[in-house]
Amino acid sequence: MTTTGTTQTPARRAGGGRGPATGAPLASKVLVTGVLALFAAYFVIPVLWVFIASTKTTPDLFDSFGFWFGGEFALWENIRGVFAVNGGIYWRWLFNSLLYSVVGALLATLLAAAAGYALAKYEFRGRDLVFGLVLGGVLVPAAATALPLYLLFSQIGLANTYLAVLLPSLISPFGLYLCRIYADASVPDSIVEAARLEGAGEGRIFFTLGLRMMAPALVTVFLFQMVGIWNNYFLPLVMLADEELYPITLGLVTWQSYQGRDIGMYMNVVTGSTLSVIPLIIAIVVLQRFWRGGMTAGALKG
Amino acid sequence: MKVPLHSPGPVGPTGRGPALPGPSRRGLLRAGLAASAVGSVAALGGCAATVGPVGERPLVPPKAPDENVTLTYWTWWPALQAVADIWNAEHPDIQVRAVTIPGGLDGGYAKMFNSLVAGNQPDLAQVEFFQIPSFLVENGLEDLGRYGALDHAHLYDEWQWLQAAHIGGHYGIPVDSGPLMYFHRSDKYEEWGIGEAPTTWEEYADAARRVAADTGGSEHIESFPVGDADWLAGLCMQAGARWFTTEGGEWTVDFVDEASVRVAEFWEPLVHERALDLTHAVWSNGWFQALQRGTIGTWTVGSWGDAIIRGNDPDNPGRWKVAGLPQWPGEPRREGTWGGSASVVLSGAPHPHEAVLFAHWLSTDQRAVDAMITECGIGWAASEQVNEDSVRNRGADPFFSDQNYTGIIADATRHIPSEWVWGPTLSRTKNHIGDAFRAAVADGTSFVDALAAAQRNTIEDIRHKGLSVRSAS
Repeated sequence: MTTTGTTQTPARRAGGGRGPATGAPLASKVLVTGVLALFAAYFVIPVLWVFIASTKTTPDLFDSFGFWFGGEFALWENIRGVFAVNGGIYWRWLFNSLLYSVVGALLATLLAAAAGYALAKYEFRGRDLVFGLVLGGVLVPAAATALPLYLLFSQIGLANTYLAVLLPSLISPFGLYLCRIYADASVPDSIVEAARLEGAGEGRIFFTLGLRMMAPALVTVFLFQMVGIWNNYFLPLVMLADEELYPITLGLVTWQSYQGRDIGMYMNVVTGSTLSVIPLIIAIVVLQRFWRGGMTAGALKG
Repeated sequence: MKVPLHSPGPVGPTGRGPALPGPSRRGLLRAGLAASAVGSVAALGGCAATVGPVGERPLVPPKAPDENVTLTYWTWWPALQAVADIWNAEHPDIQVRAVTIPGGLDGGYAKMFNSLVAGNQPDLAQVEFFQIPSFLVENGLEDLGRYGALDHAHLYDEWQWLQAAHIGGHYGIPVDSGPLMYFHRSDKYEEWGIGEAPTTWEEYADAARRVAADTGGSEHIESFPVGDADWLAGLCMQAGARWFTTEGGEWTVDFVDEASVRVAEFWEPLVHERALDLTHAVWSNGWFQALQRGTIGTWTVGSWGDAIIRGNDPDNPGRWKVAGLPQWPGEPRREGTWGGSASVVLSGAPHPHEAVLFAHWLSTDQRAVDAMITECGIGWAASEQVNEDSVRNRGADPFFSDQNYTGIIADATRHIPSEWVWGPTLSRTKNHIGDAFRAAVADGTSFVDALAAAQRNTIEDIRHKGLSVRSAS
């Protein structure tokens, strides 16, 4: 990595480039901040409502102001309630959601990285055609493929299994796209060449050099894919017919369908939703650092 | 009924937004999806072979005496397994596994249709009465009459049993239903000077206008359920309407008969004058709050609504009362229903005999019914007898002002018309009614015209299914 020293200079320049931005007219700064604040409110307000609602008792849920706490702080009781329904089925759903999203996103990221790297670093006939086809995949909504996949999986006996949700989650056309672009920009051909001259195999070059240099993009792909799988509803709805395999999204809808008969279910749905957000918040907070640091590192190579 | 075999097109994630006829973008998209689904089945060698005309399918024999089977039951009640466990303890050879799936229109029915195409259907499924004809036109249900169901018919309330009877076959075992009841806040009725629940719709209208006028519009007798097709159908049923009839393989649709027009013309001025609450949609947080505070004093709903009313206001027993519906003068007493479901056997399921045994036990065994009341919160169970003997009927009910709660409902159920038939495209009919009435309320236009529009769209839908259909008028 003898190039490290030289890439530091552009970094400083890039840092210096921020200078003019701070001198931007006040009006535009206010405008930009205002728009961002609106966006933040748009995303935070529903979460805030769900959190506050999950601290209330059922009568308070309907009888008190939505954005402030009710008379009684019932959060712990509600959480106990969520984990008590059907002998603690919520634990199982939590485990399933984690399994689908973490394992699915890890493997999807690895596949996307390998494919993106290959498309970026190897010249072969039909390369652009393959890339074009994959890009086309970005345009097909996941819900449209769920039913054909279900029929296919039923034929080969995989419907209603963990694999029924995991396998389709392994494909991330967007991730592949990002990985290719990023590998193009951040893995210099000269390094790959140098490694080959040192006698490293292609696999070793990819795993030891390529993956590391692409790390920031991989974190992005992983996060996107994980959030996507975590929130996926339609595919599990079509594929699964066993509560033990449900992810949280599907489980919560079964509870919601039932709240017309049992008003206590409202609290379980609301509290269950609050709890289901927590793993995502943790993932974002933990990985965010990588992400920001990584993106600047990426900028260096430009 | 000779019906062509349709591939059930994919219904959206909620099942609530099927394609509109005509070249809307969404319609085209869905048509494309349906085509791709059919294409895949064909490509896979056609796994829908189990689905043929119901009477021509070979009879599935009962299991061998020493054979052990496990039945899967798709339901939207999270606690049904607890009920099935009572059965399982006594029937080691027929074990039942309840699987909770989302409610029918939340995606459950789409899931069942998909499973029919893929050949993964469960042994039993819980299907609402209104949805049974929609399954029949897809050849989706087994005729349970061929598997011994008719032997038990006398044990059920006729008006419930007949909800699953269609054109010479019997396609479901009723589990529960919802006689429409008039739940009201007796303390507020005193305060408003109404006294007891109105006995005629005329009295209801007078009371509604008086409450709105006396309180300056800050309190109302009831919230108008804008666009709620179940509620509307129940009230039209009560007025003596019959929206759907079949004769000689042809459907007749009649949303604008004398009775339905009477209902529409009754509610229209009350709504346009704001004698009813329109601010708080039924089921919204504000509406729950208004019921607690008594600024809305009534909820006309299936008897299963009692669980909601109790849960929303648990600490104030004695404020609520229940009554039968107000009546139409000059007509015999009639009541209506809202909701209700049956255990059905999806076409091609492997154990119809055993499925009928369990379904019958579930609906009529007192322990099962009691467990469904306490664990699943069901409304009215499948017969008057099991309701009278149930855990719910233990003397005067303090929550409902020491009324004989079960007795009042039992009395009402004796006046429910048993000839009501649901149409074959009901989830879409519900959307049409919802759309038409929401528009009529917003624009202040005619409710009768809204009914007529919903009828036109429904006829169009049925025709699109390839079925023979006509309008009554």
